[in-house]
Amino acid sequence: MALIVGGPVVIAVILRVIVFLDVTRNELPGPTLFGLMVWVFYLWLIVPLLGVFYGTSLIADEVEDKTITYLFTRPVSRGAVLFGKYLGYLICTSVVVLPSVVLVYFLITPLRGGDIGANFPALVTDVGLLLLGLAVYGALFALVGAWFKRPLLTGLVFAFGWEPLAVLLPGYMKNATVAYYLHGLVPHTMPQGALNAFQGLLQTFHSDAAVWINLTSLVVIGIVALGAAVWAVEHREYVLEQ
Amino acid sequence: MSSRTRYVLLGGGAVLLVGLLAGGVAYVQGGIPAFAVARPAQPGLGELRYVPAEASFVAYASVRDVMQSNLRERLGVAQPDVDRQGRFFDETGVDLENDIDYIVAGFVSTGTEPPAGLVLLTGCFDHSRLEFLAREQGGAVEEYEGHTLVTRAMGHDETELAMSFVESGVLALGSDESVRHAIDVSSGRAQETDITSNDRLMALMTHVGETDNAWAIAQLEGNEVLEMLPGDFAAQIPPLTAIVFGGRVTDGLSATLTAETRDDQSSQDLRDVLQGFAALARMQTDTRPHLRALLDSVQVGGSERAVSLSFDFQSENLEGAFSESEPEPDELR
Repeated sequence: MALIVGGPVVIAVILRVIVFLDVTRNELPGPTLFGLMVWVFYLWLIVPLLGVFYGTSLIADEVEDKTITYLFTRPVSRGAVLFGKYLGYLICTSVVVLPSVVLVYFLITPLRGGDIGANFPALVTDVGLLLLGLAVYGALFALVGAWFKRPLLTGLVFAFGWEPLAVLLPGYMKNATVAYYLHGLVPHTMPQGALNAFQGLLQTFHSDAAVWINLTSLVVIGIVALGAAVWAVEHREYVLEQ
Repeated sequence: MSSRTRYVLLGGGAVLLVGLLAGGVAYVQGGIPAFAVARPAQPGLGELRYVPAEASFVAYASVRDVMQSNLRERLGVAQPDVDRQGRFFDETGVDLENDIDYIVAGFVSTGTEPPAGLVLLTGCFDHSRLEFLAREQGGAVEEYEGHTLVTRAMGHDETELAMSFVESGVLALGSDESVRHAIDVSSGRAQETDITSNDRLMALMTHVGETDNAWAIAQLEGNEVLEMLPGDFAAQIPPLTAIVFGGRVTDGLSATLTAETRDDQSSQDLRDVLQGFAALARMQTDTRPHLRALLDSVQVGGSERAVSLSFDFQSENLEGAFSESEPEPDELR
């Protein structure tokens, strides 16, 4: 996890050094660079990856380590156990990912005339967005972990196979992803003429739906997924392999 | 929870909290201390203190940015006239291309006709060489208020030019009165304050973008700038009260020209005329796609008494437009 969340900070330091040494002709302002990094590194890679690895492991790791028995024999409902582990996941990942975003913000935003104060609302929005992403992906993959036999593989296929493919397909397939709604809430816009091909690719993932629709959809997905995970844990019988 | 986990959580939480608080304070107060900002204070503003408050025209250009820009490299434009640059170097010892970081210029009213100009060059100069050259070429050297003032006639019309280093790295050039005036203003001897106390012009500065590397501001109402224009041209100018130009030369050329008129109707009329000219120009560019692309970037806008004309010329379109405007070999015969 340190490598994953430290990577963008290291890249931000490198970018800062590059701009300071004036060895690049790239004139992208700092706020735009920050938006690009949040979009690419955090929303596309880090948040789904952490959701897959830690969300699926909430129950799956306990089953694999054969320690789930100890949890289920406690005078606490199974659903509460899952919910408590889910909250622990959310707090731990948030406390690691969000400071990384803040560090990147202070390193990147001032470049090329960016204003830290003026762009602060975008940071707050990004922090909220990433927190929501961690929550929703965590809930979804907690369901995957509670339900499927190979939860990690299933989660990876969904996050890095199905989601990128579905948003590219025409029609309503993209509505069956979390990324579509999450990326629709991103506050940053790409400047005209900057990284045109990349911009075009990113724009295809952008939702045209209103903010409240994206927000509501994400909350609903999170609640339904977590509720289904709790239900699965309450009613499913986990057979420990001998 | 192990102690390591506890430290990670506490450390991460502290970074998050401090970061959000700092950002919040910056947002509320509209800025953040300079040590956290990678961008230095906007260049050129420090030299404005040498321009007296009654100046009606102020301009700034980052020579370094323009000379090192990708646009200049791609187009080969703004190549200095080697002969003129060489003469200027021979006469003043200043290499326009390498010695100068940026220029601040202003038209100053000294009570004499016509308005006197003052140019401040900021960069790296060889003080002793400049003074030596001036003496060698018959210039008069004197001490004025602790500054060395060199005065000599230049050019074929023997125009008197004075120059003085008002501070390290800042060379003032202009008429004898305007340079002495700048020295007086900088030392506080003159009764007039500097142009930063001119609320009208400083208000116009808000039209200049923070990343612009060239800008100019002119106050046109009731001053001598219009008198410099030839013949009846001044009478043909619509009733403008101020003009602000801000531009940036990097990979391309982008700029915005904002004009303030006396009333809303003049502003609307001027916008209509500009949009008509832009449309007419576009009609002539059917066979010139690059020129068309340049004209498509031209935007006319504004509201109330302000009229703005902005454009964003990319270097590839400029290159293409130049090549499109070159005559075909057949046309040369």
